[in-house]
Amino acid sequence: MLRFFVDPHWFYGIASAFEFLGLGIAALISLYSYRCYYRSCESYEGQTTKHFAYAFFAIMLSFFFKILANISVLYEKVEQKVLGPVVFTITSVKQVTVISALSTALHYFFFLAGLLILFLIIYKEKNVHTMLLLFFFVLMTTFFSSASYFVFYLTASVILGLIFSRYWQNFKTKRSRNGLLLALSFLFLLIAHVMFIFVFVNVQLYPVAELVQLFAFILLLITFMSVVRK
Amino acid sequence: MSRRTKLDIMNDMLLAIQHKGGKIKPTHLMYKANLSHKLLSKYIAEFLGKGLIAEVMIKKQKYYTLTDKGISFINHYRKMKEFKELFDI
Repeated sequence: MLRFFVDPHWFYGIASAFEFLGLGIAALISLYSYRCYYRSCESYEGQTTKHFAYAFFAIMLSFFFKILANISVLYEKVEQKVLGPVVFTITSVKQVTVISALSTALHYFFFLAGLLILFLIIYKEKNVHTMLLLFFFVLMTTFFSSASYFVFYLTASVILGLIFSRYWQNFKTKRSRNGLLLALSFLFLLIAHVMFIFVFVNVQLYPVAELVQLFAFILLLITFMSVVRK
Repeated sequence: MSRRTKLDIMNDMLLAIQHKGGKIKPTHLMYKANLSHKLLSKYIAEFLGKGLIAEVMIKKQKYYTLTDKGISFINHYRKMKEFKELFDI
């Protein structure tokens, strides 16, 4: 498996803070959704709410593994060397390949799995064979692709595009403020993931994409809060 | 029209009480919530047990009144419904 280190050095800590926020928001939505399921678990409606909770739980796990990958990818080793009267402090960067590779793969897997569950719920797909086939493709994408970085962001972009399209249709039908905010949050997530694909062109696109992703999650949080805190 | 879940029925009953100004006669509740006498008795027993409603006697007539817990249930149900509709669950 290949791993591309595309984020600029100065952005490592900031990126983890962004992921932590995404993790918190996904956890909040998952928890609320699970509470809804717990209160209405006797109906089919309740089952889809449980699956929705699983979708955001998977996204939460994906952020956890991304943070772990960020932390484990590089740890700074501070060394001091004395050359005559001058003391040099050298900060060297070491790579923990196995943990970072595994964390990255799990980040890819859980993010795609979360998006896929969300896609299956909102498109009302109930055919078990179709679901299994799609999950098989997610596994292939994550663990057996030689260009997993590009395949991951491309696949995520396609699923996000389809989710955005559905929520946009819902907004056009209902014309609600929250419907618009929800559709926009998925649009910004889509834009961020498309930007991640093109990071190899210019590495400075990475922080911009992370910022757009953060903005998308903040929009999602605003939408969620405006529903549950009325 | 899809079949009402238990939560839907509970919400319909509590809303019927709320729309009647917070107190309702058993027969009115049965019609407003579109329930049989047997189901109504079952739900009333559950509601009283959970403290969602209270039973009061006014001029020898039995009434059911909405408690704070009942009002809180209606609010939670509304948020939950809105959340599910928004995310298309």
